[in-house]
Amino acid sequence: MSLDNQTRDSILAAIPNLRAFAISLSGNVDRADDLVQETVLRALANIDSFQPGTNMPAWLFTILRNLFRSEYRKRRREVEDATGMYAESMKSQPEQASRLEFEELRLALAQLPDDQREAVILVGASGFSYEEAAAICECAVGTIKSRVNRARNRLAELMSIEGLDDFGPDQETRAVLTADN
Amino acid sequence: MKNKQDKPGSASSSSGSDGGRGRDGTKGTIDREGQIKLGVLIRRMYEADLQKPAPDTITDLVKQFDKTKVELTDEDSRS
Repeated sequence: MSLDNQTRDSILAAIPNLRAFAISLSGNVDRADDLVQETVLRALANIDSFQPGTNMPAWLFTILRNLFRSEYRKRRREVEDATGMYAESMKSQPEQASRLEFEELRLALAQLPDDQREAVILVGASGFSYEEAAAICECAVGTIKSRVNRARNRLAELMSIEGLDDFGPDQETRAVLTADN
Repeated sequence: MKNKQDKPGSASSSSGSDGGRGRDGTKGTIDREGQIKLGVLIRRMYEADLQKPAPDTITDLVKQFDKTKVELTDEDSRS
């Protein structure tokens, strides 16, 4: 028996988000790819436990998050950038005017506790609601809110975000900020 | 992922001002402008990662998946 097309498509559609989440968690593209591949393998092996009609991305994110916490976090601490590879990987990030900002953000994210980092990425970037993020992280909604709040404050502190000029001459960002204000 | 019941920054979120230092040592809270700036930067960084194509080895796993060829291990069955 093969996967039905809908299930297959929903898994394929989730892969870019899984990968971006994995990069944010691990801070390393190669490790993120390993993590996503292992997540996909685990999901396919247990596809019968997925209930059609429920939230496929949330199910996959839960698997990835648990894999990271059970295995990859240990590895990450073991290599805690002793060779500077993490910092080097940051330099290979997007070739945009805001590349330095991204690097600064990634370095700041890396300083957050794992639970805060995953919370702020799930809610602030992956597009999950607080309720969905709480389900993925297997904790209370209030706990997720608290983690997101602490993560924001800590990131702002680490990045010394104070004024609009902190974001440089990036027109797109300025446009968004102007519109929101 | 689309049905957000409680969006960051909403009145019910816990991102309001609480002052002082938290248990993690952070001081106070950032204001709304700071939240917006940070939120925009996080989303843009994430979206930049989204643009990077996943290795074919990962997508091929899904495209070529044939359940009859999968041998479940005990560990797989428990996850």
